[in-house]
Amino acid sequence: MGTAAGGASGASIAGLGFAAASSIAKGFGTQAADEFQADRATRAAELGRTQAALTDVTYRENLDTTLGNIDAIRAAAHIDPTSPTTAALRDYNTRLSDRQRMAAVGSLRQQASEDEAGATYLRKAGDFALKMGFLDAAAKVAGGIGLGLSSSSGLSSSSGNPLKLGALY
Amino acid sequence: MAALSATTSQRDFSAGEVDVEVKRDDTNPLMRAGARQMSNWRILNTRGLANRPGRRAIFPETGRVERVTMKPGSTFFLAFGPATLRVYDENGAMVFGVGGRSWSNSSIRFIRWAVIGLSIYIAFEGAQPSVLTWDGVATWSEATFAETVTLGNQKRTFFYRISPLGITMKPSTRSVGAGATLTFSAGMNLTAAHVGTRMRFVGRQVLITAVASAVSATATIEETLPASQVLAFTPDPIDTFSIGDVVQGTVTNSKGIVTQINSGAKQITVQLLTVPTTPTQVRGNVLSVFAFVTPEVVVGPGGSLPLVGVTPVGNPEAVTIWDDEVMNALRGWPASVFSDQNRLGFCNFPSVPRSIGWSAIGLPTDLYPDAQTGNAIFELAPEQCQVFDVVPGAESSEFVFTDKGIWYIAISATNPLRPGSVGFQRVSSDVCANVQPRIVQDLILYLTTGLIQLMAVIPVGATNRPYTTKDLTEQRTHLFEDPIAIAVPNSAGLGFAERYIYVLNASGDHVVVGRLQTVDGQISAQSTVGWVPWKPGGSGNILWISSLGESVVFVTQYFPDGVTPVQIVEGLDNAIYLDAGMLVNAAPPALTPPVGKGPLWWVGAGSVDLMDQVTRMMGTYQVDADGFIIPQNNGGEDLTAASLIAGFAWDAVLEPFIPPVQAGQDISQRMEPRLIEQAQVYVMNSTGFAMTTLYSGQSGPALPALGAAMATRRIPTWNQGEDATLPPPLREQSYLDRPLGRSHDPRWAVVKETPGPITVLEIATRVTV
Repeated sequence: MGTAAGGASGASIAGLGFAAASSIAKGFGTQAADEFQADRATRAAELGRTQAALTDVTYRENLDTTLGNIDAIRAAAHIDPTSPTTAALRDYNTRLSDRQRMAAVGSLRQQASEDEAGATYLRKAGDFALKMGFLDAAAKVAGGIGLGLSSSSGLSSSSGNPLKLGALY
Repeated sequence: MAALSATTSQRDFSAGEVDVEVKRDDTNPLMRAGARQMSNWRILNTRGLANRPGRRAIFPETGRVERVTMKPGSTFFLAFGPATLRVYDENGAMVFGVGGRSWSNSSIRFIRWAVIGLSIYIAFEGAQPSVLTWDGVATWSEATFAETVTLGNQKRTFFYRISPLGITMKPSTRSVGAGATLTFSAGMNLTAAHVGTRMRFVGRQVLITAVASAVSATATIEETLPASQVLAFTPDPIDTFSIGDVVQGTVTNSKGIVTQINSGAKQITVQLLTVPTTPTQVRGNVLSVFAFVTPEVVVGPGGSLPLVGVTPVGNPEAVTIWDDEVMNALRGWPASVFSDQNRLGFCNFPSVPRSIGWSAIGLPTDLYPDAQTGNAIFELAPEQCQVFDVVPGAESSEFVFTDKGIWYIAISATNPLRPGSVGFQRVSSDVCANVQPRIVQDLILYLTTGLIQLMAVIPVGATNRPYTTKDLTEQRTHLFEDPIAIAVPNSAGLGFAERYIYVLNASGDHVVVGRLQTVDGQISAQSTVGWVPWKPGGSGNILWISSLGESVVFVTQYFPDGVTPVQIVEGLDNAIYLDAGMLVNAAPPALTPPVGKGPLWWVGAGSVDLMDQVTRMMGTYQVDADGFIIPQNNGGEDLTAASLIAGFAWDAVLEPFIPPVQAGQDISQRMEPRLIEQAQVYVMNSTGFAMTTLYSGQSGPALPALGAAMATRRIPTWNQGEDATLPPPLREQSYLDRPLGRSHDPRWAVVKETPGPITVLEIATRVTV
């Protein structure tokens, strides 16, 4: 009986170890997945900011082209460069371009900020999942030990470092 | 051996009166179709001649009188007299009148007016434009033209930098309604006359209320002014920004011009180019207004820097971005006005002579240029010109007449007149005179400087060059001397189908009347004009001509007693043969005699010519001081006849060129004095005339003047046995004359010296070689 009871106790401890290791492994896995998603969101944010900068530049270049075209067309029509209507047209096109640029760039920047916020969240969520894995493992081990002490024998010498699955064997 | 002679005949008189210098150039087609004298004739489409129409007296008035239609069926006379502005109804009754205008008889030619709705906008050099408004029923009123001022204190008028360039303005404060000191940099030229005028600082208006010096003034802030702001950076901004750079915030989009750079403090100061729109923020427990905010990046032409600190906005900085009001008592008022495309237009601004301004669509008092389609427009014509007139022309386009040439502004349904659409395409480099051009069909008639040449802008239909110009007065320049007005009826409706152009010389001695010759029924670049002078009957001179629709209005000054001038507004009337003609016993309403006065009260102790039964001339009659005709008791005289017309008669003179015989086999042609052996004139509807030999021999103290009448053969109105109390027979006949004398320049003329009809179809002469 004593042997049988000892065998049964050993199997129970091994199961406890497996459960704890599984919780930890799950935490690692979740963190790794979140880290991957966070990295992707970070890259998206970086790309978004690059796109915003490029869009900003593009709009400004387009505005320069528009204003240049206005000047060229008006010059071809023999309009004086000091014409108040030319100034009004330049102002209007500048306002229009600025508004469109601000809308487009703002949208891209907002998206980049969202991506960054997502990355931050995912990283925190991964860390949290890992911690929860450890906590879960610890809870399981602690629960198993408590159950063993209340039934008969002491701990197996194989309990060792719970982070190393092989240590259980 | 009998002298050789040649017979020529002239049946085409369409070239009118031609410069006399062509008289030896018998190859010149104008000589063959023209005449040396052709006064008071009307060139017919059939290329013959008829006595010109008479003019019906309408009402007494002087100066410049023009007809204007305010709505269908409601036409008025607009009269610009010396310092007066009056309106008359169709019957000549005055319905509105004011004095105190700044024009005179000599300057009324420069008045321009335009109609929009029930308002007439009047512009004149040196005077604030005025608006004459009809209520659509009976009442007229006048007010000075005033641009709209919005509830936000913005005056909707034209602004342009008229003050010297490069000068800065610094307002001491920026809040609307506040009094501010405007400080200008050296070179500014403020005077007391600036008081009451507006300026714009960075696009926002201030009203000058006092001037302290040439560089300092007090003003009321009419619109909140853009502020200034200090921006701080981590690195020294001098490596990135320069004074004068326009910089912009990447987040707030605020925009400003760099006015100061402080390398030590790593700050720049900017004058904002817009009024801040960033929400008010509380910083340091103080509620402040910002434009640029942190964090944002400031972008300039030399690069960008992240902003690390900003101050709240402050009072404006000194910048050169400001401009002046174009129309006011200081800068002067536009001298020309026009209406087109539902916009009111002004030009000939004394402060910006080459500018043209259009109001907003449908809002004549909104002159504030902006970029939206319906906004007002303010453009500058090329080449430092002075714009005299803008004339709506063919196919919606507008034509700009200046002292540097003519341009057209293409306007169409696909390229409507809107901000940005205006372009100036040169039509001609002709230097235009300041005489209002007139449009007839597709042509616009204008005068060049020097005032001896009437030109026409003519559409030619070419894609790249759709318009060209043409001289309509070549080889007739002796007829044109300082013209002041052009009138062109827009339809034939006076009892004849011919289309005539009327040009009035300043002297008023005569109106030059041109028949516009069509080609294949159309006026084109090949069209020509034959010109004849129409001299007023009696001893008058013409003060003004104008036209509306088919009507032609004359203002003529007569001297019935030889001394006292009488000015009468007249309408061209092909049914009468006298000028200032009026039915004696049915006077027009405006010429109804006062109590106790006779029907010719306005003639007073003078003389008039009388006709009755339409074509029966009665001769010249005296009028007593009260305006009653003094009877002569001639046969058939009935001073109570309903058909009795009084007026002033004229002479119509037709002197053909006597063409020299062309060169060829020697028969001494063109070498010997020549004799008109026989002259013959073929007439229709004739009521009598004279044929006169004119002196053309040597000149000398005791000799007759060239052109003096030497011998006359008169064709009587009534032949013996005919009843002179009845209208004369309208004869069609060829009459012969045998002029006297030999000359290298033989001269002979047909003279219609009695009132009544006559048509000349042919003149034939047999002249020795």
